[in-house]
Amino acid sequence: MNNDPIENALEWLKQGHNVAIATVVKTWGSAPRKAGSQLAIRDDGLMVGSVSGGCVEGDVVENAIEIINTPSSVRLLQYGITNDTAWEVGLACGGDIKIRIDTMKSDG
Amino acid sequence: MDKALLEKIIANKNKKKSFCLVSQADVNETILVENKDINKHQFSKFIRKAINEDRLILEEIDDKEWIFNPFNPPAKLIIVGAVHVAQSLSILAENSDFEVTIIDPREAFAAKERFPNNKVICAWPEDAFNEINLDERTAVVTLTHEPNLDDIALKNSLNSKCFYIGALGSKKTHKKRIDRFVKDGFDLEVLRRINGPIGLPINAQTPQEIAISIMAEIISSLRNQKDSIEELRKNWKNR
Repeated sequence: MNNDPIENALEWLKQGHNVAIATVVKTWGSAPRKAGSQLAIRDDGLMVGSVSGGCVEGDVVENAIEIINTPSSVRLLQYGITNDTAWEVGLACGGDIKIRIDTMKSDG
Repeated sequence: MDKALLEKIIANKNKKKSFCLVSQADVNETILVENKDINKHQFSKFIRKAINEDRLILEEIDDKEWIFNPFNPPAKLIIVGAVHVAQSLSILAENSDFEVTIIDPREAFAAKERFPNNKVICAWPEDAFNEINLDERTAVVTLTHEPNLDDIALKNSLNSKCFYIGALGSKKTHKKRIDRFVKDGFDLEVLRRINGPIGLPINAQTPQEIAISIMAEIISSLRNQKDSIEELRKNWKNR
């Protein structure tokens, strides 16, 4: 599988899936992926690319799935440093990131 | 974002020209601004900045947040010498999104089967370099061990803006190379641009390991300021 988020997103749209693309739009401190990094998400949860080192992708996918059937919507998310509660979503590295999710409707 | 925009992004990537996606942070509308249209755009200043610095810029303009997400053509790696190290290096470079070109006039080395995914030019470096633009996103690596092949490529690179030049060969070989180039009129300060012996010193032994040390050095050049690289090399080599 090619790991380019945009190419995969287009392929999924053609196959009849709704698709979301998450983009890192700002980072503060030691964020794992630089601004501009992207994660493509298919409506069944399959993902390609990354917006962090694996720390927040799960939560980003959950947020994307919530809005993926409402095409052309936008959601902004922000993640900061985690405290000691292991189940909280956040960045262990001490960074802080802002992410934008865009949704797109399939052909079918 | 929609399907038409994704298609436009991919088409523009294939054209190997810079472009920028512009959107208001919380509004579902993204515009693709092609390189040739930047000056016409009301936010041309920010678009240029994002493209030149090769990073996404989030900027507040008149109380509204705007996203400028630049896409630049891939960095290029020119490998002179289609040797064993080149086979591993080309794979690593491809995987790091470099566009790889391999040059070697020796047909046995330049065989397409040895580099199925790369552009291979079976010609002498002086001819091959005529059709290559050595810009500031290009790295050049010479691996042949043959001065009559490597030197031409290195001289072309020294006269260009390429961001990395590396030459395989021992300290002794590199010293001889420097002496030859000084005789040919090159300034010692300019010759410091050649990374030789090539690669970060990780005590690499096999062709595969040498390729890793070269690729690491290329990436450190791409991502660091020139000064910090010099500092890095000095400290490493002295260890």
